[in-house]
Amino acid sequence: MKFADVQKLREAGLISDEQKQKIVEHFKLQEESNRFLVIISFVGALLVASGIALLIAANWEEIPRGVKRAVGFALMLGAHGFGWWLRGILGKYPKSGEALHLLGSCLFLANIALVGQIYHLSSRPPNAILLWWAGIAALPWLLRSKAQHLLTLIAFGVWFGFEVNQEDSLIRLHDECQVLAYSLLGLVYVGFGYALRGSAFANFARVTERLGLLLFFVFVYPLTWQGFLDDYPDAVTGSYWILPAMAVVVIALVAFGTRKLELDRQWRWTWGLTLAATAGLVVLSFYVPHERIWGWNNNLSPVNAFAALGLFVFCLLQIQVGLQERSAFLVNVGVVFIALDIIASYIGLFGTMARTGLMFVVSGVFLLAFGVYLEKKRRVLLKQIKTAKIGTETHT
Amino acid sequence: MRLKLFVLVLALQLAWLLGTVATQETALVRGQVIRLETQPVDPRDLLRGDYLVLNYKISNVPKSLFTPPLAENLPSGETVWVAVSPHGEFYEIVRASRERFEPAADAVLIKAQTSWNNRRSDAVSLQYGLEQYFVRERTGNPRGKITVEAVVPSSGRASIKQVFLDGRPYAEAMKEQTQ
Repeated sequence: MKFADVQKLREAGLISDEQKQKIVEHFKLQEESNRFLVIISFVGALLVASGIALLIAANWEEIPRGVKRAVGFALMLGAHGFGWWLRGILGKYPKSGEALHLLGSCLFLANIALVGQIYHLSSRPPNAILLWWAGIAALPWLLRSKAQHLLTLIAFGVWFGFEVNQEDSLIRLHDECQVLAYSLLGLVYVGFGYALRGSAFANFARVTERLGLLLFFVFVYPLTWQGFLDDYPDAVTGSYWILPAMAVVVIALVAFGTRKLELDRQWRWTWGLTLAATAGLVVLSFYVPHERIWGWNNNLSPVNAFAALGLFVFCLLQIQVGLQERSAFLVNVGVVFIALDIIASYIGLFGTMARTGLMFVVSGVFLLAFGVYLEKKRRVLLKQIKTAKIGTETHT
Repeated sequence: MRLKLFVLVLALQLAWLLGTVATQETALVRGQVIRLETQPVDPRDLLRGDYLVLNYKISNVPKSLFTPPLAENLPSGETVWVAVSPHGEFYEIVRASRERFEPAADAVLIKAQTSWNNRRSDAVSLQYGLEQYFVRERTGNPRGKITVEAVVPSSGRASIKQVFLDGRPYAEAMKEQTQ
């Protein structure tokens, strides 16, 4: 039920003001316009930050460097100051204040770039991002801002991506192997999100878990493609310790965090072990041989085949967890990646144009039917979640 | 308490920015000025805009100039100290070492790092932190001879002071080329 629906019932005279208020409080409904304004504020903040970054990049040489620095620093401090005033002192516009803090944190990166540009500093690209992350890492906790938290997670992810790709890095991984590290980082975020549940910063948990799961799925999915992580020189070289180290972190966080999930004991163990085993399998896919050894014309690598199978099982378990946790997000993402997994497996099984053409026709028809089935199944599952939610709220 | 911590974080952010500015400004004012030959190419940085990648004559140091002599290839990221002294218009390498040393009276000591593509057998590839010169949008493709005026403070960390195109300040020369 939406706030607008309750408003319409009131306008039609079907409920009184008191009843309207009770319904709104019972379902914890919020005016949609607030949400719209929040989105507008954050998009505005990101636009301003991107605009300033582009103006810096355009490098107007007519402006003295002292003026550039002063304007850059003043904008950053001004955004934070105005944000603090709106949130902390005035107290009326918390979301606009949060958006201004977000702008201030983005402008810190812009100022790092500005200083680097003015003095023509050449350094390792990951270092600037690491400095940015280090500079803003404390702000989510101090400002209790979910948006800042998301920004620091993204900043860390961007640094990690740069560092893994950096030639002289201690955690350097070559080419396709980098996706293994990114997918493990996703699982680290998932575990971190679970660990945040029930803490003083429990409202950061959901965004952390969701970002982590998306990161995991997006980067583990290529493993299901035929030929991915194939055996060629340099494919599986680089840092030999970073992946196992990340898996250990995942296992530790999951062991600590799954206790806080809204699951029964059996499912807590099942889901916890699934996450831990998945981290282990991602690491294993780096070390096992990658030769194509079976399938038609020996064109299938065991890594791709096991990844497709593993992802399928993972998605099924995630859907079940989503049902128990009443999370439409978990169910939807699980359903989408089951479909993508099946597509990747079908394409991987065929080789020639004739076979692929035939496969496209057969699988297209199959997918049309399967899509209808999945959509029906998804709706049933979401209906179950909604029914369970309403049941719980009425019960409490 | 939260306000104090918040102000502390902002102060640390500002301290880094101002600290870097102060270090660079001090180097520009007090450092010894040297002039170097270059060859540019023009990529673009996502945050800092168009720039020239400058490759210097002193970027490749013959192994014979190392004292003590090099027994093996140096790994990437290794610190190397290089002494340059004036030869005509430009400064050129007279000695290199893995340890800091006292240069001759007319020489300047610069700190460098071996680069990741350090694969030549007869020379060592070095980076001085002078390899990027940020320029105004769409002025990163010059025609002419580029020279660089760099400053070297006592720490040995060189930075670019001025870039010249055919002997004239870069921005001024590029204005004419782009008109």
